[in-house]
Amino acid sequence: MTDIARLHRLYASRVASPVAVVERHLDRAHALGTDLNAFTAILDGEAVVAAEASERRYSEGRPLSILDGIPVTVKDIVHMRGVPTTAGSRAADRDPQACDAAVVARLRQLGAVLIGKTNLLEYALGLVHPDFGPVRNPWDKERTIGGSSSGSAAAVAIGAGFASIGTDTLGSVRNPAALAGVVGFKPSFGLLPVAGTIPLAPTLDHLGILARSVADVQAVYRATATRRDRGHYGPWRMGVITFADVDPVVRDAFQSAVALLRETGAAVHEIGGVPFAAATAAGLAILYAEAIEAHRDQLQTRAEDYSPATRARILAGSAVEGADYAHALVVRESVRQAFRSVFASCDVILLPTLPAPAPREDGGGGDRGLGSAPLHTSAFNLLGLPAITLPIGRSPDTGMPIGLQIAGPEGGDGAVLRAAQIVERQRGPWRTPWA
Amino acid sequence: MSRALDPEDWLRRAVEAARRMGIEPAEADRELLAAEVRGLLQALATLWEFHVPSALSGWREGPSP
Repeated sequence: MTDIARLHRLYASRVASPVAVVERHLDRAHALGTDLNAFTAILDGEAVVAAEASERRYSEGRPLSILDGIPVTVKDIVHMRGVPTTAGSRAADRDPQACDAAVVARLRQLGAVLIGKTNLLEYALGLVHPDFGPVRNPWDKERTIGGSSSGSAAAVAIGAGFASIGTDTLGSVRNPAALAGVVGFKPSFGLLPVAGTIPLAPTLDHLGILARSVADVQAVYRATATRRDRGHYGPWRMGVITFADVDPVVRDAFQSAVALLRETGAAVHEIGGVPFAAATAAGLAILYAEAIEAHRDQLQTRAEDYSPATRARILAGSAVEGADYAHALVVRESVRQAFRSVFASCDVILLPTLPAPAPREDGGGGDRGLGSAPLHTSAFNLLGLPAITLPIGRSPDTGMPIGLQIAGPEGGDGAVLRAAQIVERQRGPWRTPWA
Repeated sequence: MSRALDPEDWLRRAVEAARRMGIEPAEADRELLAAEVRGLLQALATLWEFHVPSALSGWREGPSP
């Protein structure tokens, strides 16, 4: 499958048709996406009308942007005009939304074709509501695809849309992207506007972009972000973070990727003593406290419509006392200083996105679990720093994808994307089998 | 800090705090809630292990006049 920039050129030269491309993506959404339970809504009629309008613009030589006619999906916790937002829960209001979220409005303004809303963990909190069921991993339907932007990762992997908008509070874009073998980018806090997105923990919530290549992520990011940075063009100083908890296949893939980067001439050095455990603990304290505050009114009126496990998880937040929350804020600033010191000596840091490839959903097979996943991802939400995951290999045992995470300093979104492009180039071609 | 208290005590406090918010945890939820609170208390214990000097022991940062 081609990429967004090339498809835009094919549209402009009338070699490809937005209507034909969108119909092909809708077909994949129905066939493969339904099998994987990746969608809560597939927007056939609306998408074809939007594709026809795009086709007219190209025929008149007036495309709106590089995204004109590009099929995309949106996680079903982001409001879309005329469509209910399920949030993967029976507790959500089922009326069609009156307005688009800011990011959806921007995508429409750019001519992107919204083909569906993607399934997710209930209210993006890490658990499946039985009415919605789990999203299956296309690489192996018996293995987890993580979450909470699970449907977005599956949709991108199977080629139902070139990109998807997800949300990421402690890793919910990067986690499923890594498990599904796609790219997932969480820009700096606030760069993609969260207006019109159901909150989970407002000081940690980010929007993110999932796609099959760094170039496609970049195309969507450049078109939708509220501001730009100047990027980074080397020479590179890269810091390597290692974790004791990772599975040997992840460690081997990570070390191979680091070795490839050394070959580019980048100065690569090990970084130690970064307070990831404290960052994760602070992130969890803030998440629990802010989640119960966000859900307080709805829990009073519709408690029975949540799944029991999600309801308990939200209610547990009432155990976080004011002193805990205040200490978490102080720890956040201390961790911020520690990361500033790290980024004084390197442009980006590299770390495994997750401790293991996708384990079996049923916990069988002796696979290493993903319980420590937040240790790898949550610090960048706590501090609002940019972070991306991209696939760097597959487990020789199970064939499941393995992700590399790259994170940058405050405002270092361009550097993170540029470093990811270098890794992608060194890694060589990567295809998901369905797209 | 007070995090060393018994998890059962914290479960009771969580239920009381939920009631203050106008939420009555169902009896059937207590087991799930206890498990969640236990996990959360581990995170809070880690949080309090991370020593940051409290405000009185340092110079207060802020803009100059």
